[in-house]
Amino acid sequence: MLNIIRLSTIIFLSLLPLCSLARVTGPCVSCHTMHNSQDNLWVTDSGAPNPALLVADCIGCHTGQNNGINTVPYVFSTTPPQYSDTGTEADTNTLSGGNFYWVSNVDDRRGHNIFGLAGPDATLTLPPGGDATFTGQLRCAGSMGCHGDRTVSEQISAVKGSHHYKDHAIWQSGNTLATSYRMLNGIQGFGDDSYEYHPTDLQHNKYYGLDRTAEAETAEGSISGQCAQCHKFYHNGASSLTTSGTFGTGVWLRHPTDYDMSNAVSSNEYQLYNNSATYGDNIYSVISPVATADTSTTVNSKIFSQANDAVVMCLSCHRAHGSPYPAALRWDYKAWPAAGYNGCAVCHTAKN
Amino acid sequence: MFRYPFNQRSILFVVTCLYSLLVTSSLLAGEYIDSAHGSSSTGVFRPIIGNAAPAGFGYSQGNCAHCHEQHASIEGSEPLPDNGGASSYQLFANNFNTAQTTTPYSESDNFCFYCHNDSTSAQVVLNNDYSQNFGCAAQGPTTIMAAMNLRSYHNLYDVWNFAKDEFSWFTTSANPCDACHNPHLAKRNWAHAQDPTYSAISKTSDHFSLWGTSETMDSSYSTRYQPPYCSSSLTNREPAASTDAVAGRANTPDYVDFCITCHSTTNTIYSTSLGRNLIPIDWSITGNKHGLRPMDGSVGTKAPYDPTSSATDFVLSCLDCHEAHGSANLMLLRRRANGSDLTSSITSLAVKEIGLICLKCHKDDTAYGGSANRWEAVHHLISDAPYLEFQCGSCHSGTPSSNPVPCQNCHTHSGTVTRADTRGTSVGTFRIGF
Repeated sequence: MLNIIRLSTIIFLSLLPLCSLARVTGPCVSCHTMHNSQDNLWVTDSGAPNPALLVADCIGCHTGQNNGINTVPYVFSTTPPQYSDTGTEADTNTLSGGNFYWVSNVDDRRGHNIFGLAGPDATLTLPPGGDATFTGQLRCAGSMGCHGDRTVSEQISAVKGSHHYKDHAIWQSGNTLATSYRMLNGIQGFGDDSYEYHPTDLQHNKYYGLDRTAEAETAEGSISGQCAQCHKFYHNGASSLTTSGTFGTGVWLRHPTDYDMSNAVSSNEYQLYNNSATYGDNIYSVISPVATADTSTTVNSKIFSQANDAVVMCLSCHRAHGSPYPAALRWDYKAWPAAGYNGCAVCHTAKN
Repeated sequence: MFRYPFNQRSILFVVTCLYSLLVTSSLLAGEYIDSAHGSSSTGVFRPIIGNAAPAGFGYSQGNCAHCHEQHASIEGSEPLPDNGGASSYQLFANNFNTAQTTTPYSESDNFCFYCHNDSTSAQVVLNNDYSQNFGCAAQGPTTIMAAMNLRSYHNLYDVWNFAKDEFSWFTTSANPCDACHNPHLAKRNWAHAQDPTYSAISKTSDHFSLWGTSETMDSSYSTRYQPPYCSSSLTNREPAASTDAVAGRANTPDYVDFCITCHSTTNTIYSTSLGRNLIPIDWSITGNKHGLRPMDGSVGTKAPYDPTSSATDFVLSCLDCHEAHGSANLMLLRRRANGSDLTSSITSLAVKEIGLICLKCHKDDTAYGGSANRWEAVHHLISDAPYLEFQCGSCHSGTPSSNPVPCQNCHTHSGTVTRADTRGTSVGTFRIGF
């Protein structure tokens, strides 16, 4: 059944080139159908009408192959995307979130197993590190998803209005869904227009992060705080992260997030972030990016250049949607050092 | 949506390619993967992490995950050995059990023992002692934990207790082994025993660098350091049967400077094992006889410390006499020194057992027609002997034993010998101990 849906999606998209070029500011028909009927054929991907009169659901519209020109960010490809070692190289065609292709076609460990793209996780019944109760499979948005209003169960309704009212030119304050980073409700940030298609230190997402002092702080609004909604104890919680309960005074029990590396006292290796020869001259790495507490729309191209601009985040290591590598890591950590890639060394410069 | 003009985008493309190449090449090799733990062929390997599925997770040998669990979880649960939660430094088990103040140590007392132990629940790593690796001895203890469970040992609690207050990088959660070793840098020195660039040690005061790669006994002491003989044939030198003295001193890290980082004249280190503070070590020109203090008169030493050597004043490396981890002898004394094995273990300081290692370099009475490990000649009979055989009770009525006088009654790493009888023929100084 899943294959039929996928095939239908491909045929549908190929017949509707306007959809693949759709922008939320374009013709209504690019995304909506008034009667789900055209020449006496249905228009939607499933045949049934969609909420908000949409011609496709989240997956349907966001399936495709990025080429740097398309304006719809494609997060799922039906053919293997080009990822290379880190997903940032010139021959790649994935975006900042990675791609669901691998979790859909390889195994559960290579991404978030979204309903419709992958089956329920064969190993995990709950999000690792979490304490929440889940009664179904993960979806793109809504109460079982990451995007949109998580108090709304139906995922299209959960993102209502956010496409139309999105203004990419301003700092995403998280005050409304439309002003939330990537429609992650309440999350701040400043997204790259191309969604990090071939990112550079000058052209990339600006992730919001906080430098916490206590491990129980939830860091509301940070990109890692979003992940913590399901993977809580990897981010916050008493006795979850440090031996002392206070960031920077004990040693880590788990890898820190929402913590600024300039506070690290155990080693000065972080001062050479991204192979820098000089502390303070550290070029932002799109391989192992960091978040910042700065809320301006100026892209952070150097770190350690202002307060709290070297904040470790979940996305420093992981792709939110998926990658070719286990644990949806940005690089092939598992195969290293025999092969693979050591993106850890961007921060852990003494351990390359 | 903002779009780069074609030419600007092309420039970005080229810059990105060059940048990627630059970054990639910079990450291909480094100190960790050159280390003993980081090697993809001989490095760390926890079976549950490294074995192929379904027995394990299939991580490369040498990967960080063999020791560190970033989230105390892989695929939703903690890999074996499961100690019930996250551990300091994200290690897979507790780093050090500070309640274990003396031996016997078990695997769970020290994270390193999960591998440096011959019956582990992780990876069995065999390590011979210094006497064997570098001193040409036969098989002794085969693992670090086994060595540390012998009669004398570097007390891990005492190391931890001293280091946590002394060195800023050493936290209360740190592992005492880290006082001497940086696990991300240390190399397999035993596999390259004549090459000090394969150092396994880092000074406590400089934890983030290897020590001894260029700081050798040769660079520090030149010909004042005579490497001990190694093979029983007395035809080669330590370490590991180096060709000659020149090679030997060049192949030996400067262990003196390394050890006195802690065992200095100023540090106070309490020994739980001994129940007292350790004796400060003064290897300076005004300090110990085995250090830089000049020789006075004849000392009745054996080759290579006899007048046939190119130098007359010698300095020893700490590891010429001591093991680093543990020993069946007291005071971590080696079981083989200067080319031959000790005839029995040194188990008591109350008798002259310690002389069993002294005689490897110093002439006992056998050199003068007497019996082994008897020291009458050097003290009373040779030309510059310090004590006439007169008023015997001055020395031979002491405690804990007086006849013969236990070596330790006079010879230690500290203090000045108070000569009860100064009418000997020696014109030497008051003799500072070892």
